[in-house]
Amino acid sequence: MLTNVRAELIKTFRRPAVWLLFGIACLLDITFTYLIPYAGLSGNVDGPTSNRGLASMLPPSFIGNSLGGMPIFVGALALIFGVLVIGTEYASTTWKTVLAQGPSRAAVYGAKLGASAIGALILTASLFAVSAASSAVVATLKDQPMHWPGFSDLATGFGAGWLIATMWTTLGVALAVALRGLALPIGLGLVWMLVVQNLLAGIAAPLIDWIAQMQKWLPGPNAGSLALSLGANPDSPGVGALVSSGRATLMLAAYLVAFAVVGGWLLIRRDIRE
Amino acid sequence: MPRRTLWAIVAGMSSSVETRGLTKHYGKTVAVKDLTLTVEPGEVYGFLGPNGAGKTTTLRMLLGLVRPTSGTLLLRGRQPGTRGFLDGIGALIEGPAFYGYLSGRDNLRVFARHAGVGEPRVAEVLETVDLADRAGDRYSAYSLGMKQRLGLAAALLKEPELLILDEPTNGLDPAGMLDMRTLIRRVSAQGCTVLLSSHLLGEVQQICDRVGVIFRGELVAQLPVDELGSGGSLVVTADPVDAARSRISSMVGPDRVRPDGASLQIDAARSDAAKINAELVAAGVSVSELRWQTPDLEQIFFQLTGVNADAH
Repeated sequence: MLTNVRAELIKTFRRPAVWLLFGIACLLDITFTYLIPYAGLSGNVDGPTSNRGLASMLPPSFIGNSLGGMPIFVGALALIFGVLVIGTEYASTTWKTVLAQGPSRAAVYGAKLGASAIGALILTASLFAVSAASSAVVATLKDQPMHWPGFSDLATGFGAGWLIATMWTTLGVALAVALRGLALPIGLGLVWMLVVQNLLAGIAAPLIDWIAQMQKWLPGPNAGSLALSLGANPDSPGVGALVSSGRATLMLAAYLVAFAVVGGWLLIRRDIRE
Repeated sequence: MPRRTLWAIVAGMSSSVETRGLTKHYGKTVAVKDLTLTVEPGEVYGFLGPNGAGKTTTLRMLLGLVRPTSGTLLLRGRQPGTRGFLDGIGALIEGPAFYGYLSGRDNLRVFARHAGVGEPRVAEVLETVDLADRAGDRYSAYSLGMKQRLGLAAALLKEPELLILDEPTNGLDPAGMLDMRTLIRRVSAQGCTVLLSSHLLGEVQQICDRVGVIFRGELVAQLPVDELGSGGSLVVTADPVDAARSRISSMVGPDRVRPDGASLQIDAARSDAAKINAELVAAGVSVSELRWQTPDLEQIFFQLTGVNADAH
C-alpha cells in the first residue's frame, strides 16, 4: 500500500496543473484578504473587501483569513484538484496500465485518497503561510505589533482548513469516479460550487423555509459555519453562522467519509471503461 | 505441437490461460459468447479476429478490468480477485496509455511502484525496448513507435511469465512493426508465454505457435498456426482467357476453374503450375502471370464460419 501511495504522489505532484491550482488559491487569498483591503485603507478604492479595515489584516486575524475562501472559491479549486487526482486515469485511459501491474482497485483508490489528502494539506499549509506572511508585511508597513494566535488556535484552525479542503477534494474524487472522466465532473462540480450554492443561499433560502433548513445539511454552508467560528470574515462568500462549529465539524467529516465510500464502491463494483 | 508446449503438458503444469464458457453482455449486445480457450506455458498464442470480434473485451476480462457475465477463467491457475492474481503477468491492452506530463522513465517509476518492483528494473526494461537514451523525454513528445515500446516496457516490469498483448503493432509503420515483432520473439525465446491479439493474419503466422480464431464474439477455431490458411490456389492470367480456361478445364476439370476478374483461379496443387504453363504455351496461349495464392484472412473466416467477414 505504501508503494502505491508513493506512485500516486509522484504522479500527482509532478503535474504542473496541480501547482497552478494551489498558486491560484494563494493569489486569491492575498488579493481579497490583503491587497484590496490594504488599498481600501486610503479610502480611494471601492471593492468587495475594501472596507474591512486594518485590524482584519494583522497577525491576530490571519487564521480566519486563511479559512475565508474555503467554503466557495478555494473549495472549488480543491474540488478540481480531487478530480485531477483520479479523473486523469479515465481521460488518459491509464487505468488499464495501472491495474495491469497487479494492485487491487481498493489499494489504488486508497493511495489516491492519501495523495488527495496530502494535496489538501499542502494547499491549506500554503494558504496559512501566505496569510501569515501577508499579515507580517502589513503589520510591519503599518508599524503594528506582531501578536500571533496561540498554538492551540493555530492547530484548530489548520485542522479545520485541512478538513474542509479534504472534504472538497474527496467530492472531486467521487465525482470523477461516478462520471468516469475529467471535464464533466469539473464542470458539474463548479456549477454546484459557484452557482447552485450561491443561488440557494442568496435567493432560495430567504424565500423558502425548507430550503433554508436544508442549507444546514449541505457541505458548503457547514464549511462556512466552521470557517466563521474560527475567525473568517462574515463578508466572505459562503461564510455564515448556520450551525455550531461542533456540528459543522461532524457534518464535514461525515461528508468526507460518504464521498470516499461512494467513490470507492463505484470504482470497485463497476467495469473499468475509459 | 511446439516442443515447449509438449514439455509443459508432460510436466503437468497448469495452463497459462484457461477460460470456460466466458461470456460478456453489454445490455442486449453480446460482446463475447461462451469462449473456451487454453494457452499453454511457453507458447506464443495468437488471438486472431477482425475488429470488433471481441478480442479486447476478452483480454480485459482476463485482466480483471471487466467482469464476465458468466463463465470462469484462470490465469496461471489463479482466479480473478484472489491475492496475487496478476503476479508474473504483464499486459499491454488497446495501445499504450501513460501520463503525458511525465518522462518515459518517471512513467515507468510510477508503474514499478504499483507493481512492487525495484527501481533498477526500470533501467533494465528501458534497455530491453531500446528507449534508454530517450527515457528522460516527456511521454507526450514520443512517436507512436516509442509509445508502443514504452507500453511493452511497462508490461515487462514484473519479469512476466505470461505476456498479454493486444494488437501490439497497431498503427506502427513497417519498421516499427518489425521492431515490435523482434522484441516479442526475443521475450518469447527467454521462456515467456505470450498471448497476442491481432487482426493481421501475416503477423500471427510470423510470430505464433498456435492460434484461436474469434468471430462475432465466438471462438470458431483453435489450431496450430501451420494449419491456418493451409491450401491455396493457382492464379493464371493469360490471353486469350477463354482459350486458357478451356485448356485448363480439360486438364483439371471444369468445376475447379473459376474466373477471377481478368484472371483464372484454379484449384490445383502448387506443383501443377509448370505443367499448366507448358500446356498453355503449347496451345498458343500467352501467359503473363502464374502464381500460387494462399488464402487471406477474409477467406479463412469464410472457410471456418461459412460467413463473409466483410458482410459484417
